Amino acid sequence: MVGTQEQLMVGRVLRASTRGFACGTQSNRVDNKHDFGAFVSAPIANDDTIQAVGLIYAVEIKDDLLVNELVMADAVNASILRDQRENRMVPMEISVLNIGYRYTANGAVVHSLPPRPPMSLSQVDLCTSEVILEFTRRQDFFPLVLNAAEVPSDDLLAAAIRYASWQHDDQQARYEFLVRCGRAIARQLSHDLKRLEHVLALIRPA
Amino acid sequence: MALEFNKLVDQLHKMGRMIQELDFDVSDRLQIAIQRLYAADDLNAIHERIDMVRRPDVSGYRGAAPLDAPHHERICDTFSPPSAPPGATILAVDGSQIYPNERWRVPYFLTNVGLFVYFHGQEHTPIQATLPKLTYHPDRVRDKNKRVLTNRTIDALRTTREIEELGKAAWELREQARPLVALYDNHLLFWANEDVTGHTELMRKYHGSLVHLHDSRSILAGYVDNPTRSRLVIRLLHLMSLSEEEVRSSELGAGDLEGLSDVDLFNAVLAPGERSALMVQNSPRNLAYKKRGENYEIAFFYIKVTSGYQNAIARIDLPMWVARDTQAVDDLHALLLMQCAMQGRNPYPYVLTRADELAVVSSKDKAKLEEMIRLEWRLNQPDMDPLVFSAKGFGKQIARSNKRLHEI
Repeated sequence: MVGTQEQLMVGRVLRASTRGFACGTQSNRVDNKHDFGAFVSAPIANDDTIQAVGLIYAVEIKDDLLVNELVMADAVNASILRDQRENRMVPMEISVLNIGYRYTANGAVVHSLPPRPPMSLSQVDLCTSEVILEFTRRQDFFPLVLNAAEVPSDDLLAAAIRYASWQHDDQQARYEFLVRCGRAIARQLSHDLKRLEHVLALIRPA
Repeated sequence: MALEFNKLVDQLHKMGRMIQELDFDVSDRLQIAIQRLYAADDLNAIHERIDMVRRPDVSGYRGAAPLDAPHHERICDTFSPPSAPPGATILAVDGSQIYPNERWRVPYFLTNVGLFVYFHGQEHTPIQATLPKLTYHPDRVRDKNKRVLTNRTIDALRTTREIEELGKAAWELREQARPLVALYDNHLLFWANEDVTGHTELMRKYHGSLVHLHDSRSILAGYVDNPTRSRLVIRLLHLMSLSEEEVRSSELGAGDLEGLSDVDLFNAVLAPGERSALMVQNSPRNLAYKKRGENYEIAFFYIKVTSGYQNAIARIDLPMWVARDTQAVDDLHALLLMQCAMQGRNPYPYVLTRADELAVVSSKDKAKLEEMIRLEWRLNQPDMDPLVFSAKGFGKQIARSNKRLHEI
């Protein structure tokens, strides 16, 4: 999980608010760092000591009329694919929902919206295992996800929980983490049993 | 103030009625043209007629002519798609410009050339490059009368840069897979008239670049998409219908085929993928090109390209060093068809689409460049505005600006 800064880079911030941010990258750089539900972080504006932490909730591939035309072709040859993906730099946009922030100096975590959004062009990195384990020790960020109207909140929370569970090496620890998360969701969604049942089904250990 | 469309409604209705009355049907003339094309199967007769109109007592023929023997082809013949070479390198250039503006205290102009290289038959990422050139020195932005260069001069400068960069790229890529096709997005019979500043030097440069392309053994071609104004073959067909006496006495235009273009004719005659015979344009310009060297006379053929969804007629200009090489013409024919089938429904060479995309200077790019120029001014002449104030210009700017809503 841990690698060099370059290996962890998800993209750079395009636009941001305290609620979340969008970052862009080249389509040929997209890999498992850009998974739905992945934990990412970016420094907030004018303060490298605080990192906004968020979840990827959408990955969008932009098009233009030339791409539209190429889709209509019977077959797109390999050189054109390379040209479109490497030269034309069809941009990809990754949307992130903020779920908290952390102080880089001591690793302290706050499960609330960051005080300021990241600046445009700030580097967005995938969170390391250690950061994810520390961040998910408590489940206070769940309401931020469940109450986010603009995202597929149930699936996002489930994906984030599964993503976080993979950071536990020990199977027993992973099971206990999932149970802890299930209980926290049950408290949050006690008023909506249908929704609760759906989210619990999504995170049920295999 | 927005255009008052209500005042245009009646005018538009009148326009519609006029369109209804217009006769767009050229089928009668088209049938005559097709008959004349198929009847023109005697190359000797056509050569005799062309020799006749080239005599000093006959003038004004600006139509097509067959190539000289032994490279001539019967003008009524059509040529099926040949098989494409297994490998090829296809270069394309296109250009755009920012014209100089007298309102700047130091007027400048910009030419930008987009270069795209496609490796046919290889899984190789294409190469792309843009070559912007900013010209700002007063000696180069103004003519000898100290007037800012005209837009026609800038267009001519851009054209010579395009062909110059194509020549340089072809030379640098001469070791790449053969054939090496150099595609230019316009006709090849460039001509700088006397109203163009430095026209002699520009023509010299253009011809120098043709020599460079010839030296790199490139298959140079100028791609003219949908040449609706081109009537070269129609004029030849009219010429062939005249008696010798009429040739001397009448105007050598399209005659009874007036209103018909070469595109109409070859749309009817060519099947998808086919090309017409190779011909040359009989004109003083082409003669001037030929006088610089037999290899530099410009020939052409028409081709019906297809995407599988849609067909289009294009005119392909090519210098004589290519036209005389049967294999080069076949390779060009096949590769153009492949390029035109690459971008979905649009039957147009992919390399030219990409070269255009690279070359274009958008209004946003222009605004950004102007911002950067202003910054240089602020750093070097902080007390002076780089633009001469124009009350008229400022008035237009404020009156045309976006309206804003009052918001609480």
